[in-house]
Amino acid sequence: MAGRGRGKTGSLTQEQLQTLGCIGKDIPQVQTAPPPTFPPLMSKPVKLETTAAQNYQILWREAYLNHMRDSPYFLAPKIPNANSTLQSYSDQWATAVENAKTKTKADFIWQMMPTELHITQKKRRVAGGDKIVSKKPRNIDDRLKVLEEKERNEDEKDITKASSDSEHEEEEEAPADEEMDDENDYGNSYFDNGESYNEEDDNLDDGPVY
Amino acid sequence: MAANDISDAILVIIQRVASGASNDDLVKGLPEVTAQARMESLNKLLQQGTIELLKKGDKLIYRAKDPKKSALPKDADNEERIIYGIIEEGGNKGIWIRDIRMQSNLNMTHLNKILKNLETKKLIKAVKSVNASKKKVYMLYNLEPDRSVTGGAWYQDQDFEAEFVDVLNQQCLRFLQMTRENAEKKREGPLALKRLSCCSVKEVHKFISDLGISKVHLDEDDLETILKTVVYDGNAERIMMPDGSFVYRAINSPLFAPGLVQIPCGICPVIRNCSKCGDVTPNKCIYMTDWLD
Amino acid sequence: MSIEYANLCSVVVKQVFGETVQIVADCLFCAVSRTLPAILKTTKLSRKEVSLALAVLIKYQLVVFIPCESNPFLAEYSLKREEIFNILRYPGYVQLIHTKYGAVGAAIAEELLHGGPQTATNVLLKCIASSEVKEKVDTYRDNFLTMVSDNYLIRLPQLITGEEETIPKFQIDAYQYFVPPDINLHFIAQVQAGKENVEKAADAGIFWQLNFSRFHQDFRDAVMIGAIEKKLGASTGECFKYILKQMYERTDPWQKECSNPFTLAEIKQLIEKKSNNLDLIKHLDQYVTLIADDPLCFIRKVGDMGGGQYVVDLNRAFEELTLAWFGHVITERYGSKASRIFRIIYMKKFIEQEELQKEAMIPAREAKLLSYYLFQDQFIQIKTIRKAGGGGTGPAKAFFLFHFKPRQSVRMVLNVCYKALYNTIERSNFEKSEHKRLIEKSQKLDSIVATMKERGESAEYIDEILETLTPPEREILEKVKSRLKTLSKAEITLDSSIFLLQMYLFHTKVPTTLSNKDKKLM
Repeated sequence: MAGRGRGKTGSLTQEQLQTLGCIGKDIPQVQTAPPPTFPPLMSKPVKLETTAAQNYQILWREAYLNHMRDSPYFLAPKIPNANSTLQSYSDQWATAVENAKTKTKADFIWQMMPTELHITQKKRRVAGGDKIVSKKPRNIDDRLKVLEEKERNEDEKDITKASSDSEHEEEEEAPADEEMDDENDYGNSYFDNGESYNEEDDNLDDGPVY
Repeated sequence: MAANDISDAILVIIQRVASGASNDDLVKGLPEVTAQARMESLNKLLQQGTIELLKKGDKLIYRAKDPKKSALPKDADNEERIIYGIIEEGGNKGIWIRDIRMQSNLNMTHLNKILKNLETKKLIKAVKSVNASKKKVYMLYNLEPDRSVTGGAWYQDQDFEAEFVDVLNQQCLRFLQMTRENAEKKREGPLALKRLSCCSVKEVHKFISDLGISKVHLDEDDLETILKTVVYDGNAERIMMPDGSFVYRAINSPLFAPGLVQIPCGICPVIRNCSKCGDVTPNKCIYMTDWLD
Repeated sequence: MSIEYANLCSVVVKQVFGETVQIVADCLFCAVSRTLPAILKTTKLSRKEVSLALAVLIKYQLVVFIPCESNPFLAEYSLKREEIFNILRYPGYVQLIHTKYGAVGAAIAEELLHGGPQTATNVLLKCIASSEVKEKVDTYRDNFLTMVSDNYLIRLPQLITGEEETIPKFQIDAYQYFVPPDINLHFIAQVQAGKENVEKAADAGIFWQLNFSRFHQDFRDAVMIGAIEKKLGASTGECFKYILKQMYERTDPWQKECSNPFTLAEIKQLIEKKSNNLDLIKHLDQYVTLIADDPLCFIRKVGDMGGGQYVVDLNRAFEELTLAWFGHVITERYGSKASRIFRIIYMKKFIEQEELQKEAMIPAREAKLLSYYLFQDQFIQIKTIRKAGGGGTGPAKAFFLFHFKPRQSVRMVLNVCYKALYNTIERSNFEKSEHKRLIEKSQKLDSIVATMKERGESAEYIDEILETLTPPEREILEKVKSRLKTLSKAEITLDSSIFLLQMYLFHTKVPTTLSNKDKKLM
């Protein structure tokens, strides 16, 4: 960066100022107020005519952004819907129109990406693992290898990262939760995970015995 | 001999020797005059200002002063005379007050008084130097200051004539462009076009002189300086000819206005303060608001 | 990579792919590469969100992955920064294709940009299905193949199938980049009829995308030809166009400093075959000499073989163009006197303040003020030369010389351009959100009217609906539209400046004192 470099930083001596040519009256007056946030401009930006090529590009860009916004690849964090109880006549028309426009389904080619990204693919493997065992023995070995590697990898993470434990639980639980949410219609409570037994025991202990 | 006669005789001898006569020369020339008489006459001549006293090594020399030069009136005292002499030596370049002090060994206040005296008597004048606007140089009243002091054609009363320079710049550019347009009319091929649109300094000089816009006399060197500024403006180029001189021709820039200056950010003075948050943001920018509407 | 560049890429990703993807992209921007768990930890998003975001970015070729060195089953993801910036140039690419190949070509290019890299069969099917340009399949196919042979489309590395890898690997040989695909029109017709599955196409697995560097080559040529045309005339511009064509016969388009030589005889042959410009043919050698002698130094004579041997000197060409560019920018920012000072400084290489005033013929005070403005804004730099102090007494005398360090100034002003581009995008987002209700209302109205027209509703009914948008609202809407248009245009013109500066950094010699990491295109 210019300005910084060898030599002393800070103000120059009188002698140096003189060499630079800054004498007496050239040094600006002492400022009494902070300069305005937006000082008045000397001139305006240059205005050139928009060519046909530029017009084409402007329109294309608008169309492209609209297309991408409507595509399934536009991922925005979910925000709660605005109050939709009051709908005018035109709004009803509008929603009808929009419902007619079905969003195209996202088309990912999962074979070309690391398996860890395709969650549904993994789910199928986990759920349908038994079937595969009987048909293709080779896959088990690969699958076991993969799982072993993952364990080892997670073990490594145990050593390298300090707050590892909570993370692993998160990672392992998250896919499990996703599976539950996406594949089954049943709520979380359907599958008994055994915790309620403990609670019952506690209750039995505390409740009166008749 | 009468005192006056002695003085005249001595003066004659001294005037005969251009570099100045020493005491021995005087003794040789006028053997009858006593040392005392000689001394008195010499003093009188010195006071009159017709001769001056110089020191050559150990010896004293008396030199005849050019009567034209010694415009100093008779009532000037010795100090004034010395100062006057120093200033005279400065010629038309003048001499700076500090140098006068060093040569005369007088103190500042005293020197200033003398200088003021001489100025009121219209024997010397102070001239501001263009090089250092605080420096004043003194020279004899009737001398024309040298160009290096006044700045030449571009300075009028020590002020840089910016508008004059600009006008000349415009006119030179116009001439170069006219030459080029004339060359374009003759469709002879690109190299001929290039050659015909070149102008030498002489041609430009003639054009400007014919225009008669300059009160001050401008020579070719002055115009070369102006033509160089046209080159620096990016409106002309300078080509060296085989004989070492330069010719000039008008050129176009290879680019249109850059994209950056078509939006306010390109000319914004506070762009370095601009960021996502704070007082200067793109959403609050008033330059943008003005430009968008 | 500067912070301005990072901010710019961030807003671009947000505009095109949404906030989730922006967060992931930002996380990757800060690092060379990151693993999935690392991304999860930094962004605090759910695993599903991050995986989807990464999948989107990989699909559009903005992120690449390689296996971790320590663990071959864990992928490291890294962001392709230049590709994200290229998103801003998509309209320019499509426009270029449109000029060269018409609406059909433009449709093909558009489809590749909308949907990401796809197989040829897929692209053609989608283009026909979109039915905006009613052409036969073979027109599309011919266009596609022409674009491949002209190198506007490039093959992506192919998946190495066979092994079930956690992290897929890709491979392609250099000669395979532009090998045309096997497009079976009969098969396409079958798929359209619903009788065949598109995945069984002959060219399945061969993905195509736009070859950005080919487009950049065309942009670069346009800049150079435009400059010659503006300075030396239309015929000279045409002559240079053919010179470039001849240059590409024997030189790699991205060879850095200067091209391989070509001769006047070759140019003559080419022009006599292709050009209609009689003036050009008659005075060809004069035009070439004109370009060679011009201070722009676009071409340089290196020998006398074949009537004169020349090279295109890209180094000097972009140096001169960048200097002219700086001159313009400084004129607009500080005035014409300042650009005079700037030109003196770079022509004289090193100059002192006093000499500068004399050469410039500007009043001393103004000259000082302007030269210090230029220094403050880093357009020029000061070099200090210290002399040993006068006999030990008093401070050391120092000489302050102005000089111009092009690379440093270019980098500075390039960051200003990035920031300006960021500002235009932010401002247009702001305008859109300020008037969101109004814009949405008008969009809804338009779509309602469209459906009503399709259903054949009466004109009065339609007018009634249209009147829900009141005249003052219409006025505001018009104003907003024109503002957005201005901002959009500004983006396009800014990119042309950025392109020139990037070309400068790519093509010019790096001074030997700097480290070589500056050579990469920013």
